[in-house]
Amino acid sequence: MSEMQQTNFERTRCVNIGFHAVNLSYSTFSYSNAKYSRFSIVDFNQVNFSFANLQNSDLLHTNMVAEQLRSAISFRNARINKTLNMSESNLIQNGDVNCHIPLFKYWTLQLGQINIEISKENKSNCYFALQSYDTGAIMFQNVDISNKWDCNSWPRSEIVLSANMSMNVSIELRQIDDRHQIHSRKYLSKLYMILYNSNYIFCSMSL
Amino acid sequence: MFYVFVESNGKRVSLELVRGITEIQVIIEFNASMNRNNDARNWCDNIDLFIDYGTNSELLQGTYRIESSK
Repeated sequence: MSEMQQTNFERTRCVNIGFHAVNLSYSTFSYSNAKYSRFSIVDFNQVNFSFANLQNSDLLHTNMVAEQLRSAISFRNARINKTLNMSESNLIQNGDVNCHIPLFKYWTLQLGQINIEISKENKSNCYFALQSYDTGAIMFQNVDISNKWDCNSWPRSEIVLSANMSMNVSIELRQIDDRHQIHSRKYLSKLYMILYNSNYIFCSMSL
Repeated sequence: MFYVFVESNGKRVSLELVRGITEIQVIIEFNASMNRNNDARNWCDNIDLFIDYGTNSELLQGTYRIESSK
């Protein structure tokens, strides 16, 4: 086992690095970017992971404890021991459409009517479905990221939105700044579109 | 003044976070349709939003192995 106790990785780029058979006890990865890194047979005793980025990293064969994982800024898609029983929550509340949570608990309906319906393929899955076909419908959710992202620590970062949807549905991803102004927006749809004077002009289909 | 991005691959979109951004809005619009039938419902699910910290393609290019002879 290689001995690398008390090594300082603070605020370093450790992206896509392989650590194999290493004793890293009492080291610090605070604010380091360790995404896509692979840790196998690694001793994490008393290692500091506060605000580290562990997205897509492999931590399965380590002695990482829940408290260390919780202190990271993100461990999305990381490979971890199932005994930790931890997963990173979606920034959108009820985005995976729980059949037992009312729409209005997390979403605001601005126009029309939308129901939560049970999937025919899998009775435990649900989806949002338009009811008012004559008027259409609009719903939205606001997500405060002021405690999730710090420009100085993570200057090159992106907000990412994905979804499954049918034709005739579009999702707008909108950034709001600290003056409550719209800074930028982007659309997710099965149709390519151009926004021009608030009218949608559909250009081509993406099937 | 705000920026509008027009491309979409139908699966995911992303925006670069810049200084001053504090909030994200996700707005879902179901367009009106005259041809409603049970085989062509207007629906969506699995809406997922996350922050990709430290995006930089050059960071993914190198693979290193840290070992010592001890």
